[in-house]
Amino acid sequence: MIKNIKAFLLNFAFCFRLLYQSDKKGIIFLLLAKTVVSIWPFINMYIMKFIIDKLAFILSDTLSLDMALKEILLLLCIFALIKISLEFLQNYIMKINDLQMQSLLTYINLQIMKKSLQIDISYFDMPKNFDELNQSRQNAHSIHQMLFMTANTISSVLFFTANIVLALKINWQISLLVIIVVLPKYVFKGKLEKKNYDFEKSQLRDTRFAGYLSSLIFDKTAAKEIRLFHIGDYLIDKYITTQHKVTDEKNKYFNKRNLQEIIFNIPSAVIQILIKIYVVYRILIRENTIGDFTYITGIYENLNTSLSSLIDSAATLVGYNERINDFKKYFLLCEGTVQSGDLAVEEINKIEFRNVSFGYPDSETVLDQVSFSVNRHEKVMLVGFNGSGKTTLIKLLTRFYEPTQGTILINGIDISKYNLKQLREKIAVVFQDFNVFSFTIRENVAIGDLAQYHNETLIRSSLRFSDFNNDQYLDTGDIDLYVNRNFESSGIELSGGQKQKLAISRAVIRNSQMIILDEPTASLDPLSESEILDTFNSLYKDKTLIMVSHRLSAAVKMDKIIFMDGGKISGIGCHKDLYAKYEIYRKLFDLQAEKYN
Amino acid sequence: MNKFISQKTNIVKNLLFSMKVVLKSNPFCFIVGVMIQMINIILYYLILYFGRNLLNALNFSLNSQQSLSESILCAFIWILLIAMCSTATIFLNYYKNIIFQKQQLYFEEYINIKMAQKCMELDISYFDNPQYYDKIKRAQEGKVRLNFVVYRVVFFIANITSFLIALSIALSLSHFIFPVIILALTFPALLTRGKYYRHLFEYENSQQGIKRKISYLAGLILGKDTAKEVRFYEMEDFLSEKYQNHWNKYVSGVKKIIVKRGAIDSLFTVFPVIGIMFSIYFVVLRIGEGNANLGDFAYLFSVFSSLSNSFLSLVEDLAKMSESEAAIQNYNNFMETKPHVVYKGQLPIETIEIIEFRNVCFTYPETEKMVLNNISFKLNAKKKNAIVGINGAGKSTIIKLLLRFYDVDSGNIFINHVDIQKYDITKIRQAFSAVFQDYVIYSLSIRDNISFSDYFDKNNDARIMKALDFAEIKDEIFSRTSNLETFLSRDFTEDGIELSGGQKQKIAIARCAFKNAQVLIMDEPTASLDPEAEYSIISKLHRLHENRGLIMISHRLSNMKMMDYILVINNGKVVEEGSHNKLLNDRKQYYNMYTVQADKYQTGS
Repeated sequence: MIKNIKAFLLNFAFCFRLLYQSDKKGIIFLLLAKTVVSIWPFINMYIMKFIIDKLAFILSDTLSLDMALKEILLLLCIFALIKISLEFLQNYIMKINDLQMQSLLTYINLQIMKKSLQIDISYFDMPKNFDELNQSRQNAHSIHQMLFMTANTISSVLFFTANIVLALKINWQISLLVIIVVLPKYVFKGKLEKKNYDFEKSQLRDTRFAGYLSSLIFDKTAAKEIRLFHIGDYLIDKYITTQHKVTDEKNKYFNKRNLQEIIFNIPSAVIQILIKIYVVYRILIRENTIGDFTYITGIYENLNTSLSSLIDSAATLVGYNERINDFKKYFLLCEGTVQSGDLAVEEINKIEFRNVSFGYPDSETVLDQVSFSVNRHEKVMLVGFNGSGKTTLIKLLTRFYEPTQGTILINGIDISKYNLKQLREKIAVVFQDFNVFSFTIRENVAIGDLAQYHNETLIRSSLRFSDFNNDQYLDTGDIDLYVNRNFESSGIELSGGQKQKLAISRAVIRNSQMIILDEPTASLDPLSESEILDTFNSLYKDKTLIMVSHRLSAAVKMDKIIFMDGGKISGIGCHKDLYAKYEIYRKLFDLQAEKYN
Repeated sequence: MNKFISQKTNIVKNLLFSMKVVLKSNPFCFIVGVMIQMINIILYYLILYFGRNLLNALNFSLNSQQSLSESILCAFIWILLIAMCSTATIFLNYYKNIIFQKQQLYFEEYINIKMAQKCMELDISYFDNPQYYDKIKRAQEGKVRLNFVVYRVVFFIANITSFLIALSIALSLSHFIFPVIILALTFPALLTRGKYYRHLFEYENSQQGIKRKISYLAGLILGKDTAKEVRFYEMEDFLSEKYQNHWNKYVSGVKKIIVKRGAIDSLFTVFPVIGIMFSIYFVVLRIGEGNANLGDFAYLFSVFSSLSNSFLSLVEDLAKMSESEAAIQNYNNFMETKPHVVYKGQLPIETIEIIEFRNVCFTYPETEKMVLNNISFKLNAKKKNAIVGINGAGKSTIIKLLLRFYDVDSGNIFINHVDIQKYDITKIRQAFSAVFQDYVIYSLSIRDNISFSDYFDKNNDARIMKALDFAEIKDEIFSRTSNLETFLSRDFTEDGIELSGGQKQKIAIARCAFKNAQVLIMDEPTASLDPEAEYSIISKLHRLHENRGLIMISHRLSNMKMMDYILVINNGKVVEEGSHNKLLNDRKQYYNMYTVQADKYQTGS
């Protein structure tokens, strides 16, 4: 019980703080307004009691008609005045309330997004985490609900307090009875919430899978294959099976839990009938007036409902404990495995991998005891078989993962000692699976260095570097055009090769000491490929270049080739040396070269 | 006025449409839900009525010489009735909640399937063209709204019931002038409320674009695919600022409407109160005169209030029905789209011998650039053919036309000298297998991923093995799992396999090879492959059974030597064609591209 109260208070405080942070003035206004409005039922009942009593007096001829009518008229006028002002207030408050809740939603969404950006990439590698991430997003939704509830809890407390004061004045034994009868609901509700949450969690993966299947059918990229191979029906069937399972489980769950909820309401309903009979009895023995009937039964009914809703929100807050804790866990999640040091990064003079091993979480080893070094200005090429760990190596260097063994050194110091942000600023990367964002050309390039957002000359020269979308475009073309037509119909559509060029421009604008390219020319035609590689070689003389590629022709001009095989470095050296000494490399090179003879 | 009428007819049309869909998805839940809602309304008035009788009985007992036990018994009957009604309401409400929850589930499932089926009918052009694709996305957003509207209808029906009951009680128990006064005083509020919602919804509809941007931005931040870049390039502030800006712009508009229009609306809601007070005073007078009983006071008070409220709610419901108008329209538009490619052809096809493009012109719908410009060529479908050319030359478009994802603007495509449009489209597609440039690795099992190209034979393990072997990925896969049911991603299963870029391409090749098609189409199939895998796969393609043809697009001109026939495309036209040796001897564009690549190797060996 004490644990529950503690949980309730903690969760309440957490939610309230969020509410308060999102809109300080608004929340205070809202609470004040709600308090004012919550007085209304009492005034209503009280005035009604008087009018009915007066009417009863008239009917029993104990009061002169004229006098009574005047008094009733006065009461009605007061009633109307209060109602009119409150009606206006309430109506208006509800609208403002909606608006506030919307801003609250944004605030929280923004917080969640900001937080999620601090989470490691490795988080995305596990299905369990994916479920969690999804759950967190859903929890964010429950947090919204919780916040509504928190606001409501505050007004139900006020309402309940007013009720209990009035009810105790009438009859404390009955009041106690009303309260006691409602209490068991608390235990039940708390458990129910927990059960609901467990149930929701158990369905997460199937729900996500069903969503994936139905999204596949609408997927732009999959559309061609789905039509050529006629797999649409298969996918739809699979969707139906998965979705049916989810729906059936849900239905079963609804049916089961429902009746219990009703049972807990029955004692209160019985008590309310008994109270009515009791009040009627008191009226008949003339202990109470006839106007008291609506008044007293009204107060007890309100006592019941206000306590009940208070319990609902309290039990939910406690029952949501796990949900909120999960959310907090996500919300407050620190940076995880990749730690940022505070050492400043001046220049990257030397990179060294020393016995670095790595495996993705819960997965086999991808890199096995890798050691090499890259000096400043060196042009390095990573080559090797598919799946030999080249891309992983780059992910480690860009610090998306922490090595499981060994160290990566920059200028002789452990990479994790450096400030992560500063380190990344010194590097430019074109990832193998780069994205083209549905923004303007300017934005897509400037993402590489947002300080240059307004530097049109630089943006254009970066575009020219990669030979983006033909020369004539670069000098006069509008760089504020969107790169697709998702949001703007004036947008231009880019081919695969053009997208790759845009990604290269993004890396180039960064003007960093070091540039990393993961298969930058896979989709480029021979002429563009040759041009871009030549440009890199001539313009990046004083820069460090690390490139992953399967085109061994590019290796000839490189300072150093690192050949990877099965997560290990099986050969390292300049092209000449490797070609002379390392058989597999020579074989692969000749394989490609021969075809050009 | 005309606008008003057309608006109302639109609402009705949308309403009927939504009703139809909802009734089809699960009529039982819907009808039961409506009935419960109606019964609840009736119970509400019954409780009021019994309460009135209770007060009257009490008053009678107090003023007469009835014995106490008799009086209590009399009152008890009314209390019991009230209790029965309110208990029934509790039960019904719980049942209603379940029914509506279920209805929602069934509806979602139903509409998702309907949309998916419709989507399958549509051409690729819907996906390539952003405007069409937008239509799909909008329809998906709109589908939920259909159910909203139907809920509104349920409420509307309930409100009408409530309104009619309140009106008839008021008319029978008071002078007809009072309901008239109350309704008349409610009327201005009616107008302002309607106007208020219209402003709100018109604004909402005009903001759809911004809302889509907002959710796109959220997706970028939270998504898996963009995770690396968003973090590496520190896009946090950039993106969240954008997000916030869009949102602020949207909210400031809502705020304006709420603050101004909302205040006016709230102001007008006070008028009915005056009418109710006025009317109730006359009830008091009648009681004073002895023409009405004590219970009538509270009874009529509630009835008058309900009369005004339900009247106002009717308008609110109507207004809220129009809220979803645009969304429903989007859904409707999508469901009514017809594919462009006409599936009329009936002709069967046995073997594909010759493929000919004759004066074919093609421009993607709603774009300006002519991608294929009067192009003509002939390919022997049983030989190994290649298409080369610079980025954006129109190579992939040729394939899309050949597979009839699009139809030509002018000119003809012939297969065995017969226009392609005369053939049965499914038969044509059956004859081909393909690796597209942007292949998909499905988050499904290895078996599904490979056998998708011919999934009637999905249980043929030997064939799957053969395909994996063909794509040089069998050993890599089986060093990590021994089970073909293993998923090719860890999105949904813990023991799934994550593949590297090159491995993914090999899976796509294996999928293409699994199908025993007459002609294989491969669009840059080796872009991400290591040299050894590339060499061996290309060699195998070359050694393919005599009768199986190949059409390959590639930038690696080294692969061209083993091709029988090469088309060089530039600016939507064939600029050169012939065998590798012939093209080299011609010393034109092909020669240039080839030497650029070849030179780089000469210096190295």
